Amino acid sequence: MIMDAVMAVFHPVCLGLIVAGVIIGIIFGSIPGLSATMAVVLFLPMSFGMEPINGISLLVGLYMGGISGGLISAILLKIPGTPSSIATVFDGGPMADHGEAGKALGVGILYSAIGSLISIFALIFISPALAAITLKFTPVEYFAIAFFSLTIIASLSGNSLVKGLLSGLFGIAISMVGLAPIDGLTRFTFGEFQLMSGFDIVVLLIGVFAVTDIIMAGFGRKHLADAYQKKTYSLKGFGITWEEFKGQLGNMIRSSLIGIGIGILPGIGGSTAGLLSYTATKNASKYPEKFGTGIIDGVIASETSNNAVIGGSLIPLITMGIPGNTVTAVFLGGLTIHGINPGPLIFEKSGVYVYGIFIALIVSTIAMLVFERGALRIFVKLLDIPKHILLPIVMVCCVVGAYSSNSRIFDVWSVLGFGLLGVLFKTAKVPSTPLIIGFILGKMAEENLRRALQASNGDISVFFTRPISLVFIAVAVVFLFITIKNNYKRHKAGKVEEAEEEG
Amino acid sequence: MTDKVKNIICAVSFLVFGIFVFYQASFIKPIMARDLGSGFMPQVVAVAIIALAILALVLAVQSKAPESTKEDSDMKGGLLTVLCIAAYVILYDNLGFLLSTFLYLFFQILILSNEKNRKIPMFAVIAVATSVIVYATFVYAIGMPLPEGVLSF
Repeated sequence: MIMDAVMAVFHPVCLGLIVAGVIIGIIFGSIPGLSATMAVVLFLPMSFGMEPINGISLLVGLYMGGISGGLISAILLKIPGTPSSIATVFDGGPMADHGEAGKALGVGILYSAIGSLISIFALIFISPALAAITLKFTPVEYFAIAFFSLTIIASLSGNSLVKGLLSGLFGIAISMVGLAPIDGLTRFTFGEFQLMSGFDIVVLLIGVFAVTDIIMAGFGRKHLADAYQKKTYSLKGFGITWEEFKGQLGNMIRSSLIGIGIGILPGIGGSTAGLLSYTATKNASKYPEKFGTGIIDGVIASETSNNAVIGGSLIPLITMGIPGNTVTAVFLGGLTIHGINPGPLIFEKSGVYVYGIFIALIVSTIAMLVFERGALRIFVKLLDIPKHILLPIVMVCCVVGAYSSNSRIFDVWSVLGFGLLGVLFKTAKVPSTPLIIGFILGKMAEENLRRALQASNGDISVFFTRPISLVFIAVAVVFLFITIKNNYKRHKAGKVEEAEEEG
Repeated sequence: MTDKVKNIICAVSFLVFGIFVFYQASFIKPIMARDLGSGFMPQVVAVAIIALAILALVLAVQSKAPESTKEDSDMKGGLLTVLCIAAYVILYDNLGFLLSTFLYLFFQILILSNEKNRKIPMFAVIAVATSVIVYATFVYAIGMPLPEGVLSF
């Protein structure tokens, strides 16, 4: 069966489709507003007409390239090409500012591949056992995980904890627009039918991360030309020394595990994985103050973990038929059309396709590594385009991306609205990353809280009596406590410094 | 505007937003047995926003105002950019992708350029080329329709 799968994947047509998928995926991933999800969605109808293994391999290539491609614009433009690369901007952006764009890209690409490979092996070897554990999860555990993930807002708030929390709560509030979970009531739509389906995460991301920057460029247009400096880079191999590689082993393993874990849990996704690993690495680091100034640790944490989500998210999909994110939901559609029904029996019934997926994943990881590294020169050339020309073109991509996700002009208006919101946030120095996290996790927290309490007849003790839930909530509380304490200390230290300066 | 004034305005805005969300959510009643209802979570979030906004307000009022940082921002450039994007969104559906994108690109590049790097013929070429390439990629290569508007082919 495995040999059949190898033969099928190594057929020239199938290999060609994987390579094409990876390259198109990288392009989609790197352009803000076009995402891995969109690439997979757009090519899904095309895959129906192919041989099952070819169609699936194409989708695998698109997924792999799409998730990885996001790092290019995250580093070169400081705009995450896909939500998964949000955390790559934090250190990748400053690295490019310091003239280390090549190194940031090289490291990002290498660790994307490493994260993917580790997660593929997890998928192959430990998938059944892990799937059995998550099968036991109830809304209680999901709420605990959402609660835990929300506490990462606190440590990503920068200098102002209060503003960061407000931003996160604002994100939760706007995620509530539209149909409510459980009872399907419409909330906060103010009689506008367009608001019924709520705001799309793609629209929010494009608005806050891309349109805001373009409007800000307008306000700072006097300095647009002089702020533009041609970034030079020199890069041998992947820009990382053996010593550095050894030093990052812990980071690599931790970030892979976080990515795999987040991938397995439905509904969280690559953006949270990247942010969570970034925060975990920062907290575990001996020099947390250097994070955000342009060090490879941050890029490695984010890129290893967002690619590790790929293998992780396929574990519940293949063994239980539960899609962990949008891309795997589209994937599920693709498999079902070809008569492959994911579930515990898939290895017996469609074994050749399952092994086909495994092999296609490995091949696409190699293709991603080769093509993204090989064409790095072309990607870095993106920096040569003057900003007054590049930014308007990016804006066009944003509008097309927003429009294409649902083919409605309302989303294009929303993009402008969120762009203006981002400008207000920037002016008032309110961080916008917590907004995104609140938006992603708010709905999940609410839905599972309500489901859990429905099942327990309103008894909140369920969150503390179930062990997995208790662990997550306890860790969240401890984490929150430490962050508040550190923030208070820093605040106090800041005041002392101010007083000394005045004195 | 000093940072102190900015922080006060910011806190008050969040406070107003929190009260608004709470007020709106107070009309949502549970309709299912044993359920918290769809108004519960928004109210929790609203109360948290109100509490934090009050805290932010107190912190902002108490803080000593450092001298205002001289801002070197170009109001005209920012507002023109917003207007240009808004016009693009309005025209996108009516004029269609090709024409609206050409107009947007041309004027937006013009707004962001300065006297030294302003090359109008080149801007026009870039605007035409980008519109056509993006349109062709989406409509013909990917098969995703974009608004056709007045130019339909």
